[in-house]
Amino acid sequence: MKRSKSMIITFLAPCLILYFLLFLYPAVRAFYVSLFKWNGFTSDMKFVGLGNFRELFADRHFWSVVMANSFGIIVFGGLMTFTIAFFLSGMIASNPRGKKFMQGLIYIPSIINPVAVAILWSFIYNQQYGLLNGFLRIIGLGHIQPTWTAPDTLFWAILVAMVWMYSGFYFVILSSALERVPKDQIESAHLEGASEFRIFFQVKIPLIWDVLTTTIIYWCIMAVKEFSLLYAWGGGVDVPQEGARNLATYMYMTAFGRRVTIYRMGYSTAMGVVMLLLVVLIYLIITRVTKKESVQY
Amino acid sequence: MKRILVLVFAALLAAGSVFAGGQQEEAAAGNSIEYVSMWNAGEPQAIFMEEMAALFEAETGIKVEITFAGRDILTKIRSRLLMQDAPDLVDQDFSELSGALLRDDSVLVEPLNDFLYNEKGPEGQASMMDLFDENLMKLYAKDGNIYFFPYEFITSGFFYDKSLYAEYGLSAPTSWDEFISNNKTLTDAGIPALALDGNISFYNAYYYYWAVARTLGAGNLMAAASDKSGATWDDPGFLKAAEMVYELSAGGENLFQSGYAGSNYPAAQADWAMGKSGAVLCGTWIPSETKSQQDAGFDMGFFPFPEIDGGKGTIADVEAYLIGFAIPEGARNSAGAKEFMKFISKEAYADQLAKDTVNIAARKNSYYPDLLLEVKPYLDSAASFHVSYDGVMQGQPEWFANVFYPLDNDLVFGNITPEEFIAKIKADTIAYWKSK
Repeated sequence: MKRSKSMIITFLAPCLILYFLLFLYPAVRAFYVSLFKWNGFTSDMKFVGLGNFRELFADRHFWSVVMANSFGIIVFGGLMTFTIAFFLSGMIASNPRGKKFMQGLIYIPSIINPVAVAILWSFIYNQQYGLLNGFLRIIGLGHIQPTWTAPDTLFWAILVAMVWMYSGFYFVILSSALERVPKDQIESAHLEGASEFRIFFQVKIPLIWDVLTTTIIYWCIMAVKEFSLLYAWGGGVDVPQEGARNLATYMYMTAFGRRVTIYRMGYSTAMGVVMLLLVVLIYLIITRVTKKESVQY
Repeated sequence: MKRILVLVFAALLAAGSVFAGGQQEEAAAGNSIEYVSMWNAGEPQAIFMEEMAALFEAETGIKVEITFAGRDILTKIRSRLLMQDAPDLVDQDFSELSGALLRDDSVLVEPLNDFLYNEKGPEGQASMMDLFDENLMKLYAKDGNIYFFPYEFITSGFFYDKSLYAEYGLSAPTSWDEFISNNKTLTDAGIPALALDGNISFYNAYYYYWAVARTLGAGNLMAAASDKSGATWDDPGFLKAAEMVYELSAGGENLFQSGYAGSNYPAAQADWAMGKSGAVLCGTWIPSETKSQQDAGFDMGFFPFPEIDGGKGTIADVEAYLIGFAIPEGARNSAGAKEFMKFISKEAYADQLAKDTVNIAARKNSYYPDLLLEVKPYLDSAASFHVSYDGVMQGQPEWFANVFYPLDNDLVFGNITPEEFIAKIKADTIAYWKSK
């Protein structure tokens, strides 16, 4: 027994050391830095206590733009992504011809670099030569030529691109979970006269509940941390416009600037701490809300 | 096996420290300088710097080790400055350099007064300062010290398609009314008078900043940004400037290209270079940046942001956006860095810089590339200089990005009226300062 204990410690030690060095220490250090006014260029750090957090909670821009966008991505982006992923999974579950090819095709956007996605969708949205307005012209709606990426619609334009980029990934996970649902249960539901709608919500969803909960948590974490697509949208030559500012991009521009020389490491790190707490909170809420007995099959 | 691994590790460690130590010793001995550059490898300026480094080494025996770090250079050297392992020379535009390295709480660059005033010029001038306009050099001075050494001069104004203007019997406007009238002539003919990539906030910001510079003069936008009470915004000059911008916007005369609010850089400027719009308000880098897109025979002209009747600012007040060197505190070979700065300031090399990069050299009386010849008279007759964006971009960066940009974008796109703009910017400025 003694021998096995030391064996466990020996085998766990490398992982624990790495976890401590690469996660716990930086997290604690980040909280420490968030208590200082610091530009990051010198070791001269001025202790301000919870001043950065107080400022953050009083920062109108942070709440009305940054957090609003972050929650918008979580909620609206999540709804769109999961609706599309479920819809596509349903289509694939009906075993259409070329199923494998279609699965590959749906997954492709997930492996495209976000910078390339930003460029691609910028072309699609181009008001004069873009695919979208071109399509409107073809179907006789040439008089409607919206500026899709104007400030008032920029957030939604980016969100659509984001949903396009991630739907394939969630489709793969949900689709493989749905395929695991025993066919006899679905058949018996059919025999008892249940509609497809009822089968989906009362048979399939409960049977993949654990997978669904995990993917929702994963989406929320990803949505809070999303950076590349939003930052690349403006070409990276300027700070992101309001519609492209979420917690991650705002943190970056506050710490590093982009032409606009803000360089507030302490304040930015306070945002990082808020981000960490937000992720933990989301995890706790989702696991509590979605908690139910797992169904064995 | 274990012994071999230990020996290999020890050998690598020793080689590493010898190599690193060797480089440091070389720098300290004056045999090399380390220059971290804002340019990306392959850019005209990067090619120029590489050529200068080779010539400099041949003449002095001092090797210039260049790292092309790109525009994020300050982010990239930040950890090195923090570890007190500064390179000998860095470059960037002075607005970013001062915003990062010349802050109220810390000065991280060496003052260059002694070098500028006591060092002879490369062609025997009494001092290095004789190569430059002293007012220009003092724009970014702090507490009487000059910290930056320029090699490239940038200003902004309207670059226009001369052939297109001539086709409609137009010439460069000399007043705001003439400017509006010219633009209307073009839009009436179905040609967008102005090109703007609306997704770049600092391009949108040019309009209001310039309008304030014309109505109230330089220094006022900075004053308004810094005023915690917001009372400065009550000056009618700010409203007048907002009215000027609104007049151009989709809410006013709609003089920009269709869909400009969502135009992704560089779509609009590329269209302009292909003769599809009249003018673009931009920095003097635009001729170089659009060179490959310009149609054959594209004839480019320049005029400054027009004056307005009763305005306090005139076209003799010129924007100076300088690019150049700084020597970080703790540089090992500061003397070598200064020698290199002096070397590339030679008349022939300043001319070459302008020629190769299609830009304006910071040195007085340097060569002007053909595409920028029309800028020259305005610079030659400049009575005063002011920094780009009135210094707000580096002086009040957070206010600029979070308060000004969003409202300015709304104004430029015609989403809010001038009165709404003033009311909101005043309220948001007060709220911004209250949160600090």
